[in-house]
Amino acid sequence: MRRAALVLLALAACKAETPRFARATKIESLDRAIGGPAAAAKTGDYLLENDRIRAVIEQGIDSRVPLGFGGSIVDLDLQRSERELSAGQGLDQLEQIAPTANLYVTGAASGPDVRITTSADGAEVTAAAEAAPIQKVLAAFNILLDRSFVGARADYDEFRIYTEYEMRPGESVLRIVTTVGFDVPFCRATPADGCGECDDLLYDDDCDCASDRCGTAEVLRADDLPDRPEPSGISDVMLGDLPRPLGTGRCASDDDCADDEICTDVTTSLGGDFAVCRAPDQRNAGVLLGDMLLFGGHLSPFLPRVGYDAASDVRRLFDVGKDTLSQPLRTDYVLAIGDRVSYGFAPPSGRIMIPIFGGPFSMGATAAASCRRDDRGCLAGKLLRMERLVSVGAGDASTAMAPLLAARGVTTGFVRGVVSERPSGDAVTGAEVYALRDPLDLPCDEACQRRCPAARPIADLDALLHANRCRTVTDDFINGVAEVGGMARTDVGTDPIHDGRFDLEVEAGRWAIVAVSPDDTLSPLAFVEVREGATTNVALTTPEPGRLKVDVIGDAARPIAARITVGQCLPQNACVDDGDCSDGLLCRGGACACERNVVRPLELGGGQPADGVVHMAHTRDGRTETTLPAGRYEIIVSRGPHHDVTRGTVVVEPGRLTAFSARVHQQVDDTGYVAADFHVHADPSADSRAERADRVTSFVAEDMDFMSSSDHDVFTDYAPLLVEMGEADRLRSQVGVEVSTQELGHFIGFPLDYRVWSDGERVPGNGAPNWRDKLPQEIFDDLRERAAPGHEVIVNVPHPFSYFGSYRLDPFTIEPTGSIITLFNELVLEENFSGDFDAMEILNAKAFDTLRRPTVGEIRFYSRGFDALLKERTRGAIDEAEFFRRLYNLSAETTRRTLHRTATEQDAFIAGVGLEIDCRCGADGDCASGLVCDDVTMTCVAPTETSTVGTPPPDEALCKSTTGVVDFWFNMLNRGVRRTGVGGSDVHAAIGGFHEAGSPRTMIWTGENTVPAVSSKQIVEGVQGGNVIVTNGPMIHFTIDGQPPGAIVRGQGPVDLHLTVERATWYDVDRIELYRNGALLRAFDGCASRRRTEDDCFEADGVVALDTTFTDTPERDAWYAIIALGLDGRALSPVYASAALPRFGTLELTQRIYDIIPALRGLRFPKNPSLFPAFPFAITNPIWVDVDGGGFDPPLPPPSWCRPSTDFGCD
Amino acid sequence: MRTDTRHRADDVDMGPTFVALTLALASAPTTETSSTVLLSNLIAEDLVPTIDLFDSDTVKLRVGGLLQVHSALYVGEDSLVDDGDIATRAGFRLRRGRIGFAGRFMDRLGIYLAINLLEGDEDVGVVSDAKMTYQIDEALQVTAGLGKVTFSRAALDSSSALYTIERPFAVRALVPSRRLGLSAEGQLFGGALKYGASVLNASEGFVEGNRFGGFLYGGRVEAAPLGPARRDVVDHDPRVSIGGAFFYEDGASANTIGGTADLLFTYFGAALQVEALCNRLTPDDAPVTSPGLADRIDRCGVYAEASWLLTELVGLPITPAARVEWFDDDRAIDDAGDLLVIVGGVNAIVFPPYVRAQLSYQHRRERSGVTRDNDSLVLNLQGKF
Repeated sequence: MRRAALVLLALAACKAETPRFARATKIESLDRAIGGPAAAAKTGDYLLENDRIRAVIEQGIDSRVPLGFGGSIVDLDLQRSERELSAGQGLDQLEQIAPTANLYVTGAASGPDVRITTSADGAEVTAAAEAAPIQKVLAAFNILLDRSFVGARADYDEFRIYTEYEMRPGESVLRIVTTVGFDVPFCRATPADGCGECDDLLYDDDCDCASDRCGTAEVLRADDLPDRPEPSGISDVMLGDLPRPLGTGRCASDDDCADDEICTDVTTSLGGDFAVCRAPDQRNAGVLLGDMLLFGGHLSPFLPRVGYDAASDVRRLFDVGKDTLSQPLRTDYVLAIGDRVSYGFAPPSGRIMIPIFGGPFSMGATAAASCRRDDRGCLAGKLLRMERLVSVGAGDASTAMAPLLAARGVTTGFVRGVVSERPSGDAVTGAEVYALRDPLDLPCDEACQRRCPAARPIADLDALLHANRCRTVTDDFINGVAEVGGMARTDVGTDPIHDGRFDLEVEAGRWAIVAVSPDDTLSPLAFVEVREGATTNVALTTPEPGRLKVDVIGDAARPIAARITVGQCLPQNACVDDGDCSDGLLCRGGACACERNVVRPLELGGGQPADGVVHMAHTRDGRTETTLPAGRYEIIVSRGPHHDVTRGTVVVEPGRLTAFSARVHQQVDDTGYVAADFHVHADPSADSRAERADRVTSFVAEDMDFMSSSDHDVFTDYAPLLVEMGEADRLRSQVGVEVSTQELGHFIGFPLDYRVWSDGERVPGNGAPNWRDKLPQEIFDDLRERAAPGHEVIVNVPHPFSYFGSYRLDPFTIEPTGSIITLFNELVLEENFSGDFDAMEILNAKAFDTLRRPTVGEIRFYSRGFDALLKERTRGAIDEAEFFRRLYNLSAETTRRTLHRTATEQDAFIAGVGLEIDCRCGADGDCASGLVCDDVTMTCVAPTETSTVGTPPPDEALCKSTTGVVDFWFNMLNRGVRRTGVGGSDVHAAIGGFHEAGSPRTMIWTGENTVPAVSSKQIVEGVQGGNVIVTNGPMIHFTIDGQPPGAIVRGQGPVDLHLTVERATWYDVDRIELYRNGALLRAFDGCASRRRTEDDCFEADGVVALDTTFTDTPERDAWYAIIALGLDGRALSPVYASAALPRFGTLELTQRIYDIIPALRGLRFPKNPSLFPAFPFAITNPIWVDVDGGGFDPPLPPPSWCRPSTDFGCD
Repeated sequence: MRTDTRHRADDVDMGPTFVALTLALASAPTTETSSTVLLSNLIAEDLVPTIDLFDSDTVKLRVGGLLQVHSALYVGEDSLVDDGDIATRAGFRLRRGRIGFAGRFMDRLGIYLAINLLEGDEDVGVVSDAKMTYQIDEALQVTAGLGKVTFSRAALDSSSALYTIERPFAVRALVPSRRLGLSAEGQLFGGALKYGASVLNASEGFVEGNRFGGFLYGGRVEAAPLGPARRDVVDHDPRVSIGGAFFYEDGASANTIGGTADLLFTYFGAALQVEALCNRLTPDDAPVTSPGLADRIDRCGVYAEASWLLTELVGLPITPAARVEWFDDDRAIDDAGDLLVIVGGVNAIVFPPYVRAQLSYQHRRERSGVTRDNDSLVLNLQGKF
């Protein structure tokens, strides 16, 4: 029967086969576009499609993509025949692929810049225009560059990029050809040129006509270029060949070099002092060609051999003093896996250099051209051309890679089979099937054999991965690779027949095949021999999981929304080191826990383990059910930080249902407050894949009252969804946005006017403003003009150092100081800074490392500790797992010390001690190789340049270069600048991770009007009035004369500060700090605190940690604020996840380059402790005391950018 | 043997002035119908089947249906069904759709099943009521199954007979929802005294039984010394009915104790119904809570509803009605849950006994906090058989 059905289906498919075609059209209406979670097409863009795939090439006007200059790929998908996925409702999940040359992209912003060409062989969309820098600051590289390669007479600034996108019938591949010319004219040949009809903007393969008018240039194909220098990286191509390690091999004059070498300045243009010896055959600076691969939040990057976890490889290189800018990862392909769609990227031949890889932002460099030192100007008048292929698959690596393999002429074999569940025999749909190299098939010499013994039988996946990693250690992959040859998904894409079948295409060889079910159960390894062109069949079985059902009830004995956390070896009591733990437990991330097993390796798509948690869920109706691999689990049921939790243990058995009932009670009194979050993302943001309904559920389950959307550059209205979900009486919402500029930071605005249509036209971003080339004040004004009817708009600066850092605000004077960046981007000139915002985020997510500015001693503690750990790992004393465990503990302890502010440290902060200290490093390991950290200046210098005079700064001094939002805010308050401090979860994922719904939350005092009666107007008034407490858990009830935070109290004499701090009984508060005008007036320590210096301490009485009245007699006008902290007790983890993934972004990566470019050295910062549990933290907005009744007189003069309408002393 | 005295007009001594024109035709089964099924003394079911499916000496089986369609003519901007308002936006709303079966076996055994066609979830399914009743005597009948909790007078009224479209806010908030369990009830002194007592699950729903554990214990007593008081008849003698009830719910995470006292006075078609309800919810397990946070919640409400059955004004039974309600959803806090609600409207049996129309205006004022624009004017059309 089944066979007959398949035959019929096949016949139907044959009959319905789509004729082959390729065409290009301009998009006149969006139902002709692709559509999907990351779709960005707008009318006026260009659709290029064939019978298999579709792509949209954007026109730059009103672009909403990050590199929105025009001429890049913004949408990409398969042709979809399903009714629900056609007519502009496809599955595009790609954010953008933008061809680049020396960090410039095509700026095709007008109609004539983009053209359509069709022929019998295929269809093309071509974009040609003057190049635009990806970011204006990156134009700096043009100044830094040695431009000699363009020749003496050419104008480097006449830089054009021309890109052809071609589709041929019957291929699942988009072919991209990018041509770059410096001062070489691009023009369309016409009959007048004697060329006949020629549609192209540039003579090329399709239009072979040389016109004198357009110039005749030699075209260099990247594949044919002789120079793909090894090792090479961005630094080598853009600065010329550099000695290794980076930072070494410097010279002062030719005398320092060999006979045929010349001492060559690398950074001459900016008065650089970095010169290296360069031989005649070594390369000067040249052109780097590649693509910005902006995969966005819907895709998971995947590299052949490496699998999903290339980010760890990049970080490992950095840890040992290398960087992928100088030593990029190399691979044949780059893949990105999404839901029912996947993408592949590769050059037709050769490899890709990957300097930046991971998450939503990657770069693939596929070609480079530069001139030998003795052949300067070798590229004069020449066009440089590179070719790439972009494929579209059905949602796994195999279907995305197969078209690339075919286009590159690589012959492969096939592994086919079915995955079923044991013992039920049910087909497993959505399982991932991996092919991993048989370690015994890997080349391994005698030394390797001794180091990495392997013999059959190979016990399990762990053993296989360990053997493969051990046998593949290289300079690029210092921990080896998993040797993942391919990945296929069962019933891939929209396959309607869920029979568990898969097709995996791999190169010939011996492979171990393993299936991972959606429930994270693993099949046994199946070893197969794959031959070219042949098919090998395997049948894989995964163990049947068990089911876990959880019911939750609340105070009213009714089912209630809650969060469920399930794990193994969850954190127990707090610790600093292993000595604090007993019963065989070890200190992991600040809490004792047992040894945790990896459920699913990172390379095979496992998540970064945090706190031993294996499953998290939010339930809206008090009930949830999930499947889990069989085993014993700990379970915690919670409902935000103001309720208690239920903990328990369950045993999940295969194929059986285990039930768990929990109760949660409100413990902490937050009566009269509205728990709001103004920093909320879901799938309208390109970097989030959380569905909006899940976002609502997460907020209800975390006991939030108010959500304000803040998707990147798009307005989102949750109100209709809340009504549809029946949650409108529990959760209120308003429309907001996060304006996400490239170079000025981000700005949140709310409440705003949501508009989908205007005059019959779709409103871009539902009304969101376009920020390109606008000054901050213009953006603020634009947001305010888009106010929801009858409302005022709050402008809130999230993670404020992205804005403040753009203007280099001095942490003490809080004045913009300017930087080298102003040379390239006038938007960031000092005078363009605007203080016309209303609020700023004090705490973003769990960014505890940027909350308080660390002291010199704390920087030294972490940097030196890190270096010591690294040495232990380098000499083999500890393995990588142990290295990370200790690093986690070191980082957590450093963060505790930083958050714990003493009176001495705070006095130093007020006195400006440390103002003169750059603090660019804390130990030698912070610096590029060959440089050391000078103890006196705390900057990276050559060993011969260390200070000979002066003394190292004291431990309590505060470093100027580091970030401390609270300190900065205190300085603002001291200068009369009233900006309400708010919290922002910045939540992106549906659940878990660094950013979690409602953590932190902004508690706004609204008194009688709470949910569901509270309105946006009251929220705005609460924020404007500063009636706000920011917290991720503890609740501070702080009044002076009965007045809450934000109030101005008038009168002389003593003032009574009444202070009550509460917390739920599952986490601790052990430090409470009372500040007056920024000085630490009084600190209260919990009796269990490790940092207690006085006998006087507080013991929590149930929920109440501290309840006291403190009397102070201010001699002058004063503001008071409270901070409550939990440092040494139980943290909020694992209910709120620890920061378990070392922060490693572009800023960290580029540190190494800064050291060799003097002008950029001022941008570097020491290593950042970014691993820690979720410390309980709360801070109040200030209560102002006007002693003389003549208005508040701030202790320090206001900054030049103060706002007279709100600020004190701003005349 | 007597059955269902609540709906049997012929069992009541209405005197010579009794006008046998009854809204009961619309709001309750016909005399004949009610005599064939075995229903509660205290509870007016939302739906009483009237169509014979089967009828023999020993077995009777009937089917019935109820449909209510709202047309919201005016709805304030802030109005939300989720918030307890009648409508969220102007337009049509299918409010209730039910089908039910009632059977009687060997005189003493009754079965009642009502299906809610508009709702259904894992907890409560689509079953609205499902119960078996065994009548030992007029003074005692025992019921097992799912149904209303014998507590508030307004909650015990049939939803098909409400004069104000929806029940008072306090009733909706304070009265336990339908529960599964055992109850006993009966009437004494010829119906002058009625009582009911129940032991029910503390959890809602029936699919999984007592999902969270615990029981609800409750009882109600109703006295009508002057004879049954009914709002759906024009009775020229004054009648009064006094009721009182309590319940104690020993829930899984909280204990709730509630009480109510009510009075219904009728005279010549005019009726005044007054009821006061309170309950106190106390979390169990002695959870550690903030000193500033009430570890128990006291909620109270009181309403007075007046109606006047006009039988000869336009040849149809017309009933103008008005209700004033005061409700505090947490006595410890002055917030937007403190309400003053005024409802007024008119009801008419359009095609007796099958079709009824109601026009009702609801003004809801938040006594604390910002007043919201949540008034509404709704026309309800009801069909039943």
